Amino acid sequence: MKLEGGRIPSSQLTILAIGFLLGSSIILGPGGAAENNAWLAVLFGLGEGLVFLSIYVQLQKNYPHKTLIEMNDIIYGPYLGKLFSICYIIFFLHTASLVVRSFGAFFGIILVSTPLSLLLISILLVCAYAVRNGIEVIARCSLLLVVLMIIVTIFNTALVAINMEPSNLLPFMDIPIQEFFKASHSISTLPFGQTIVFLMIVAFLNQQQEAGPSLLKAFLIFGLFFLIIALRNPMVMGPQIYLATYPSFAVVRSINIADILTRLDILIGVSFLGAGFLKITVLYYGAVLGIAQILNMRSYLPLVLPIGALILGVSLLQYDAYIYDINDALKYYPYYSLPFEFFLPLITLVAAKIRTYLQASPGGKV
Amino acid sequence: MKYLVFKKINFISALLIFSIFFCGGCWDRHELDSLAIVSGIALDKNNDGQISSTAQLIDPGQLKSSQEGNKGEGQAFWNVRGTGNTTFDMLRNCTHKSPGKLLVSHCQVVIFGEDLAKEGIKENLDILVRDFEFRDTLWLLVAEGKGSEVLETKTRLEKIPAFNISKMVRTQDFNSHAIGVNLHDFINLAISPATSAVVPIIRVDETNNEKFLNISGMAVFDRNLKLISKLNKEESRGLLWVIGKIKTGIIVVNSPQSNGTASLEILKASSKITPEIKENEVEIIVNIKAQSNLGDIQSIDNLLYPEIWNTLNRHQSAAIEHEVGLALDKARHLNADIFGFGEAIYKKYPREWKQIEPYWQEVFPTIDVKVQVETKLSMPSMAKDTIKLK
Repeated sequence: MKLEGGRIPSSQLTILAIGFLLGSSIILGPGGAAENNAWLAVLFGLGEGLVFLSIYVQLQKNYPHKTLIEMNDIIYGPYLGKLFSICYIIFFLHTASLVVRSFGAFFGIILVSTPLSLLLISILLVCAYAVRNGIEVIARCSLLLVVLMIIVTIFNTALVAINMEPSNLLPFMDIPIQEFFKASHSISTLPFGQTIVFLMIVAFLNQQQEAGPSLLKAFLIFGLFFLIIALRNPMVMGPQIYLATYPSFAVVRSINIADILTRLDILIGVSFLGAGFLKITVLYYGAVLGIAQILNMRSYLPLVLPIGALILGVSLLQYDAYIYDINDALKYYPYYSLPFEFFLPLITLVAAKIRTYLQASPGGKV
Repeated sequence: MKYLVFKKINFISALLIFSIFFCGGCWDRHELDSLAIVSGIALDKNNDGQISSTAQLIDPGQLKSSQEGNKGEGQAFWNVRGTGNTTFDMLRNCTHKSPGKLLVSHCQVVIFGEDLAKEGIKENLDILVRDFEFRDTLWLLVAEGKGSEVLETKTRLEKIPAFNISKMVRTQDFNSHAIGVNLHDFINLAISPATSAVVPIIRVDETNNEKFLNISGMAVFDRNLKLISKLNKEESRGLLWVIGKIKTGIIVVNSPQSNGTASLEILKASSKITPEIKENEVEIIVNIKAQSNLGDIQSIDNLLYPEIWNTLNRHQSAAIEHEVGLALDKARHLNADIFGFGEAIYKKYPREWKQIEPYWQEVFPTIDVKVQVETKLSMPSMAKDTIKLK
């Protein structure tokens, strides 16, 4: 009995990946410290992200129809492989809890007296329902949500066009070079590197050879959108962009077309609702499926709610206030996530290459 | 069995959809009748040295009564005063007198009293950017005298004084003698390392026992956000020419041939500030382009000759240069970079700016500013000659 019977076409994978990447970046805004040079940081971050992606795609090419967990088992053997898998699963769970928390924090600015746990439970319940229904359902609902998010982003950008002041992008590269690379690196780890979780999903792709191109497409389309946002936000906000907790949100709040089209805050709320849902669901699904595969379970359904409760608990307990989260996201996450997003997959890829080389060579026994 | 499951799902969906009406907003739901909607806020320093805030609440009942014909019976607003230690404290303390929690989402103007502005408004800005309810698009103004008096001045055409002020600020575009500065612009000016912030000045005038409001120019703040001076209408227009914020307006010039005046209506205007650094000398080149048409002329000039038009056009350039000169002189005198010259230098020469920045206050008044004005005058509209009495 297979854990996941669903199959998704490559076009849906692209859409799902775009939605996943848009996830928290839709409100957090790119490259905090880079401010008016964020657009360049986005390009550098995309470049670094593509390096990460090439590792993931290589891995997937070597082991088609296998998830990350199964790959680890094949490459490292059942015991060491499981250890590696557990590392990834902890990373997925933690990242999911971070996204859930940033989701709650965002809605918490308006819903001040509503308990945070209620906001988190309500989003997690929807995510749990999606995870329960399997990858086909997740992929299909991503289509609707991503189209909505893209339309909203284009709409917002068009409406603030009159507030844009291109000279706000000047002076070019006035920040210390190491600050700039910190910013671009943080973009590459959040969101680009987080696509490591897609190694749990591409196994269910109809045509395995399409995995690389469709993820690449997602990276480039999202990169374009991120670039537009990174150019738009400083142009509209000017120097005070350093002040805004959620720059994109502040930009949308400043829309004022003849006093008729104003107060469009809800547009950002809706798109973040969709994007956050997709991102949490994908990470949640990756963790649940991974644990089920490690434990050799016949179905992952019994795990859905307990893992959801775990994500909820972690996201509630890890910070007292969201300011710590922003601090961490900027300071530590780029380095904390690096082993899971880059080093472990790289080691796995090298190990896989050695293994295939040994198998192919006549003297190899393994 | 299948039928039963189907029924259950239907029931649950219906229950969920129905619950939207009761659960909207969770713990944070606000009913309209429990809120006091604020249209404008004035912050003042009282005679006893305490700072107080005046919030203008809208009375929705009075707003609709005008259609029933009993206009002027009651006023549609109510000004509530609150005192406290901080701006937020003052605003919240209004609830001792108001029937509901203040909702500032619809606040359109924040007016600083003159005395408070002279002491500095740095402390009063934070709440405006931090609180979720305040919008970036609200207008900031400085009152000549007390801000609360401005908020109390009823006008005939608008029922709510704050909304009236908000409309007045926008109407300034037709004269370009002042320009509305919203919170977003003001914060950018305030955090800039060089630029001095300006906001429009409003005052209460009185003729025949009827009070009315008047936007009389622009207030200039120093780098610590303390009110230091005022620009009159001409100086404000000069400032707007330099920063390229002229929308439209009337330029009055002497007519070319005979005695009399001509009014030129500005159709469009733009400007470009270009800093140049040559041999450690900063030079600012301000390039102003303007196009206008002849609005009216009180003379017997013969408009059929092109030379007349050229002369008129020269007069126009001279008038613009004169206004810009007034603004420049005032700014140099105040040592306040209201034009954003420092910002322009920073954008073009970021490295050199780092050396200039600490001395900007000393450098600014000595900077050589070259003003280049290019003007165009359009052809006449309905009349091609002047009215000649015979």
